[in-house]
Amino acid sequence: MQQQQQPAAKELHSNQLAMQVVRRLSKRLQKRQQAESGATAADLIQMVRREAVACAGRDPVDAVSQNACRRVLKILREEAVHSLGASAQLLSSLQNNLFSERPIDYSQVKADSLRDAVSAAIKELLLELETSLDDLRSHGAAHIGENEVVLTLGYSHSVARVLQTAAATRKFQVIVCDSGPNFSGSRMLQLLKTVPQIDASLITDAHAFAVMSRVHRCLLSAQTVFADGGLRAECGTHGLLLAAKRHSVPVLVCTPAHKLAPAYHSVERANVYLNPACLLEENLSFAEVHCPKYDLVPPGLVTLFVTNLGGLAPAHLHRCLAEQYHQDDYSIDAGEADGDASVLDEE
Amino acid sequence: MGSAESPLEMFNRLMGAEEDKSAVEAQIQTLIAVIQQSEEAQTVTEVREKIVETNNELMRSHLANASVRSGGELFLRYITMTELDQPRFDDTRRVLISRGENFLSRIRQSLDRIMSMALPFINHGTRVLLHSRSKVVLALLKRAAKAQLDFQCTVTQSLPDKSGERMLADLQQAGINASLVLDAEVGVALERVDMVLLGAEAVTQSGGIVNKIGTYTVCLCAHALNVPVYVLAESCKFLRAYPLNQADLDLELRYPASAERTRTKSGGQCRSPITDYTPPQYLKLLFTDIGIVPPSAVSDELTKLYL
Repeated sequence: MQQQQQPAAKELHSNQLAMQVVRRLSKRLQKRQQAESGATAADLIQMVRREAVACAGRDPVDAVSQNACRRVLKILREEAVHSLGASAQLLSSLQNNLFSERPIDYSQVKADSLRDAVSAAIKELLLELETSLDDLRSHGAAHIGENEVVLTLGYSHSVARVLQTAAATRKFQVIVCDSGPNFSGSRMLQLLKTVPQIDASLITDAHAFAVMSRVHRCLLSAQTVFADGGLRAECGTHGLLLAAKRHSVPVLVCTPAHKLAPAYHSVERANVYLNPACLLEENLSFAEVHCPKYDLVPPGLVTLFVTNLGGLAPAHLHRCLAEQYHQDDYSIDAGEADGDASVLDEE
Repeated sequence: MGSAESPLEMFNRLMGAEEDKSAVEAQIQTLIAVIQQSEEAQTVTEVREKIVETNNELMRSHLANASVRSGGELFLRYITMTELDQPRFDDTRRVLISRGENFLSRIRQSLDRIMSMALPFINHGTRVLLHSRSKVVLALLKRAAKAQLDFQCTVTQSLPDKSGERMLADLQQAGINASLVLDAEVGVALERVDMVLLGAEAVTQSGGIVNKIGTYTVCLCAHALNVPVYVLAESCKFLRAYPLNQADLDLELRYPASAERTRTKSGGQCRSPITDYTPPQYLKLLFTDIGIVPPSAVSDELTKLYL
């Protein structure tokens, strides 16, 4: 219960947050199946969709919870399709458009018949989420070479793990941008100073362009990755990536696959604005002060996305999306959350 | 189709009967009728040959466009990939016809799917540049207008048939704030827009599009000025062609059927093409009924289908 409160939630890594959502959904699915004998797959799907809307309502910037709901929806849909028979195809593609016989009717599938298959699939999903950061760091570490200069921004758990893993077998230099307004870069520096093979130094965000010509690689994380290759990332990332593009420095974004959202940079405008008191000492009554937490980075600036499933070129993000989520779940409208205010209390 | 009506006549009739009829829809309806009437054919190969013959005939219609080529090829693929081991050929024929009608109903649904995917990209204050007249783009903008979104359109006049003027009239009739610009004004107009919305006659395997002449120019300018170009196209327009430049585009796709297709060597009059090819690097996203995809995805889809 205490995980629902704001302060504790900030400390959760993204995969832990995703696992929390999946476990909650799993319990609710089981309860629904036990309580209602006539429940169909369509009912379960509707219930999970409403939860996704509720997640979006609680925190519009948090794509991870919604993505976790989408993964569960994919599991439900897949198992329903298996029980209907092999001719119903799931992936929307040119081939399936032509050759599948009929549209899939989820209300034909009884929830009881799915119970074992769904719980097994959810167990696999939880395992995948749990090991996602470990898989990510081994894939990421391969991209850092001996004696290279790596530039990073602020503190990111994924990037820290990748750098630590790489440092086990080679020496290299890391330059950390301190990243206002919360200056998380110094936390990253403290951590990297404890790693023997890394030569870490701290610079201000504004200095990034000046050092970029000496940098071999930029290694960053993001809060969300959009389907067109855009990002929602820590404030300062956009400027850094523009500098990297100018100097033709490859940019690697290390994110686990559950941060990949079927949303588009051109459409997404959600951002979090912080209290400017963290930057300004006195209250400037004549000025309007904006203190955004995230940058919305347009597509075209990232060279490679390093995920727990391996390296992913920006042109292939849509394929990874199509494998993870079902196309009908890409957009979940607010109109579906009718009257289900007790979502949080059903534990 | 009446007993005396040829496939070409049926196609022309269907296209003329309804405003903005999709050429692929009319083509599939004609092909289904051809299969129904092909009583003398007793094997799948004979039916297939009849379809190929009909497709070639339909490409000669003045109402056909590049999508007829892709629609025909997909339909043929459809025919050859089904399980056809019924003992009597009449049963096989029935299966072919029912699969054809299934295909047709999917094409009819594709427009709606595309619109629901593209609608979030249009917001209050969005300024859109349109080129020539596209049925899909018009439908999307009408839907956006119905959703009370306040946006502006700029349409190119699109010579030689001035189809842009027709598009302007349709937009204004739907109550959309629209204005006309000359084809030569495109570079200037792009400064004042947020995105370019295009339809396509065909989407090539490279991820590029075949569309009304002038599209290439619009996309080149948009790319230079950092304006995103979005294309709305149904998946039945995916064509197995891989042009690398304008010259690689088939003459059949470039010139209308009524014009002389062969260029005379001895300095004779070379008529202007009515379509051009836009390479994939100038396109941002394709909105199709199989999802919002980058241009690089088209090749994957076609390869999966034909291999």
